[in-house]
Amino acid sequence: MSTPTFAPHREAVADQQADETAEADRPWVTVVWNDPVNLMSYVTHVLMKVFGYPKDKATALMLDVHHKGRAVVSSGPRERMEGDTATLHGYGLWATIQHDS
Amino acid sequence: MRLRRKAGALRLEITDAEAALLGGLLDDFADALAQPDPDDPVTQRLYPAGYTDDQEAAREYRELVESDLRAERIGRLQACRAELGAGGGRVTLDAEAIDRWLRVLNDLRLALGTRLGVSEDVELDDDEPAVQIYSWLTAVQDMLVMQVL
Repeated sequence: MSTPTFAPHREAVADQQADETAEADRPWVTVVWNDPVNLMSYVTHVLMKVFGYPKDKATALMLDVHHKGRAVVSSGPRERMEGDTATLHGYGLWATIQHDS
Repeated sequence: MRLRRKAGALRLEITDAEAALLGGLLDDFADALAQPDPDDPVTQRLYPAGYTDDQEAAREYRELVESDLRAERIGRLQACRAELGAGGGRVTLDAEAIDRWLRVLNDLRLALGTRLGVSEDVELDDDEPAVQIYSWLTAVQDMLVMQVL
């Protein structure tokens, strides 16, 4: 019948620490966004070239960018995502880095 | 402009008029790249922000990356300009050259497309010379990428 008065607070702190650890461990992703200049054929070529994706995977990702406005094209540690994004920027694609949702 | 496969390599055949047009575009673009204006939408399109949700991270990314991207862009442009030379004729393209030309053509299209306000919904007026040039660059890039896709 009796409720320990400290338990809820300890739980809240533990939850917060778990959240912070989870936050740091959450993978990062590179997102490519649709834009009106880049050709579909060119985007497919870039995805194959930069990531080594086979043609059907690159095409599927390109179609997601085209129809849904964006697609996640790679995931992993933040530094690698920054490298991928810089490479894609060098190819003229519009890419950003964010936490995986 | 024509593309032909010759002994495993790709040969670009280009007329004097096309070489003059393309050379002029490359020269103009080289000038623009050398003096970037951060408020210019073309600059913003060529060097997009790496993060949309974190200003500090975006600033760090830009500091880390932008000057290298610019130097590499200028290098590719100069290599293409040199290959084009003084007039029309033939340019033989290996895999590296094809990739480089694709990127340079894309940069030209990004710059011109941004200037023209290209969007998904608005149709461009093809009486305008700039629009005709943009369409021509698009056709050339598409022709080239279909060769390697």
